[in-house]
Amino acid sequence: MSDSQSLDDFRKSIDWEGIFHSDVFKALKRNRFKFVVPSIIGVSLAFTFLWTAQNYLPGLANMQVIGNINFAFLFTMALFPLIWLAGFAYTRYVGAAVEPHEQEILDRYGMKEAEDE
Amino acid sequence: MSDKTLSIAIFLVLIAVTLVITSVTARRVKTDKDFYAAGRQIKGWQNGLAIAGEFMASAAFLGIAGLIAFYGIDAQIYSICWFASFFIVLVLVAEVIRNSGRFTFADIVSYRLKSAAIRPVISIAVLIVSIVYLIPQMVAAGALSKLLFGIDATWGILIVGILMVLYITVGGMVAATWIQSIKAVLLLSCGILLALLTLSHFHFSIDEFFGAVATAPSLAQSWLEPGGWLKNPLERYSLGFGLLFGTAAMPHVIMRFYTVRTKKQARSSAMWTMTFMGIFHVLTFIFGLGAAVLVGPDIIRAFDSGGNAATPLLAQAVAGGEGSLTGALFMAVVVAVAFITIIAAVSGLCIAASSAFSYDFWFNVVKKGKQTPKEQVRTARLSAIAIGFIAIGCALALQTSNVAYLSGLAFALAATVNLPAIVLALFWKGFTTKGALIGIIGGTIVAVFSVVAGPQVMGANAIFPLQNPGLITIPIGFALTFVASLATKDKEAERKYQELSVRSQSGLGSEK
Repeated sequence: MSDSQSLDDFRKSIDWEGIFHSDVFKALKRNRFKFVVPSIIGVSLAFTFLWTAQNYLPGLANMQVIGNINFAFLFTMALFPLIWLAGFAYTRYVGAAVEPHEQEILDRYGMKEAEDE
Repeated sequence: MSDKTLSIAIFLVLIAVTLVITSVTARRVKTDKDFYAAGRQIKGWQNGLAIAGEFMASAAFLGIAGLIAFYGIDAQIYSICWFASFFIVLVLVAEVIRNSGRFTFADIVSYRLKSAAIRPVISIAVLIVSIVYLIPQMVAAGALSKLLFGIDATWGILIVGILMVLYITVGGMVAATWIQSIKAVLLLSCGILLALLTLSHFHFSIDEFFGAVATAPSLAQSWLEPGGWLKNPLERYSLGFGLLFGTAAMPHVIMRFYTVRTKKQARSSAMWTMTFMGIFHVLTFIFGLGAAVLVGPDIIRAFDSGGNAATPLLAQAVAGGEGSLTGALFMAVVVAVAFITIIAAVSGLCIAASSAFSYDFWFNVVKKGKQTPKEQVRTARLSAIAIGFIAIGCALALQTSNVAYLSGLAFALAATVNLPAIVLALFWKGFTTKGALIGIIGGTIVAVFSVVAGPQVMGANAIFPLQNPGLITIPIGFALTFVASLATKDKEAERKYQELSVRSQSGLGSEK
């Protein structure tokens, strides 16, 4: 039996509908989206604010904050570490709030993930 | 030894290294999984490095610096948006895509929908996006060849095109990943050194550096303020959102998440990508403004009207200047690395484009999934050759354009055409086959029309008002797919949503 046939058989053996409606899967989705939705909105708003300042608020965007360095430039540069930190926070959050639910579902079907590096 | 001989020597050494890597990795390419997904043996950090390499390509190293040197800080929007786009990739698609598909995003969409109807349409959309993004990379190669070899741009495009086909047909995704990783390390090293040397002219003070920009004879304070390049306010939103959300739908990015073994490594790939990209992209303003102050826009323009020579000329200026050995050496290194960068970037794009034809269309639709792994690899190699020739032809026709602008177009296309299909397939129960077809076909028509009828092509007679169409076309792409799905029923797609949702969110069924 080929690998793909074996995987197909495994998939056919799973009660997808049952898991989809289970509390554990609902908790998994709820917890993931609790971070994903606000963070995407937050990032979009941060950029919208920056671009709006650059377009329509020259007094704010061009305000010199440190010597010749203006607000728009500083805000842009600050987004680099802030967004990286948000990404790092997401990976930690998933590990704590989503992965336990994932593992519970995988354990139910005896599925083991490959070892990580 | 002249500057050009030095450049050629360094370039040939780098090419020799990449060819050795390709020949070694070629032995590992036996099946479709090896060719498209590097046998799923890539580690998270290396995948992150390779993906970052895709976004530290010609547009970043050459195009952004050129735009900043000519028009001021506006073009920094590319750097910050590309970087931030990997946050969107991380939270929205990295893991779920790894859990749901096999080699391409068409796997995910077609799993829920009628595969025979949807795969050919997606493969055409992916081909268009990939080739539109391939063109600016090859155009940059043409511009660089003037500096590197002192030969016509046409030859540069031909060299890159031929090497790209060679790497991919022989080494597949394994070779592309290794070449991309090595190039990323070289580019990061060169970029950091270039930034340090540039800032050393200003006592490592950003304030002094900006002061020099504001008072330089051919520049002004406006170089540090927004509005020098993006004069229409809507262009800023449009380009920004296109870049921010387009990455999550770029076929060559999505494909890379299939090269790792686990969902954790998919997340780790995105984080490493953000780390490496952040280090590089936080420096691009130094390249652009440094070139403006230390070289001058007029001199850069004399070499290349698109501004793509700004970074190499800056390298020469900061390392000793014209006529000095150190200046010649550093410029030669930067140019050679930039050239390798382009070859690596186009190789990844070529795999994505060839998979659209050979895997999505030929294997799944024409052959109905009945091809041996060996036959699949053969088809993939032949399609890579064909795509190479198409890309060379298109690049030759558009060789005078600025590469960063063309890259922006590719992202807007991806966000308009692919993103609605991916997001709605993964997260919306009501998504239907007809909705997807209308969204993809309609989105492609709207996106292509917006470019062809836009100011970049039609100038003052433009029918479509924006050079960067994302602000209008992305919502249209979503609206078309959403409304058409609402108007149609697809019971099978609705049933399979539950399976895809569980699989993509938990990883159950992604492997045995």
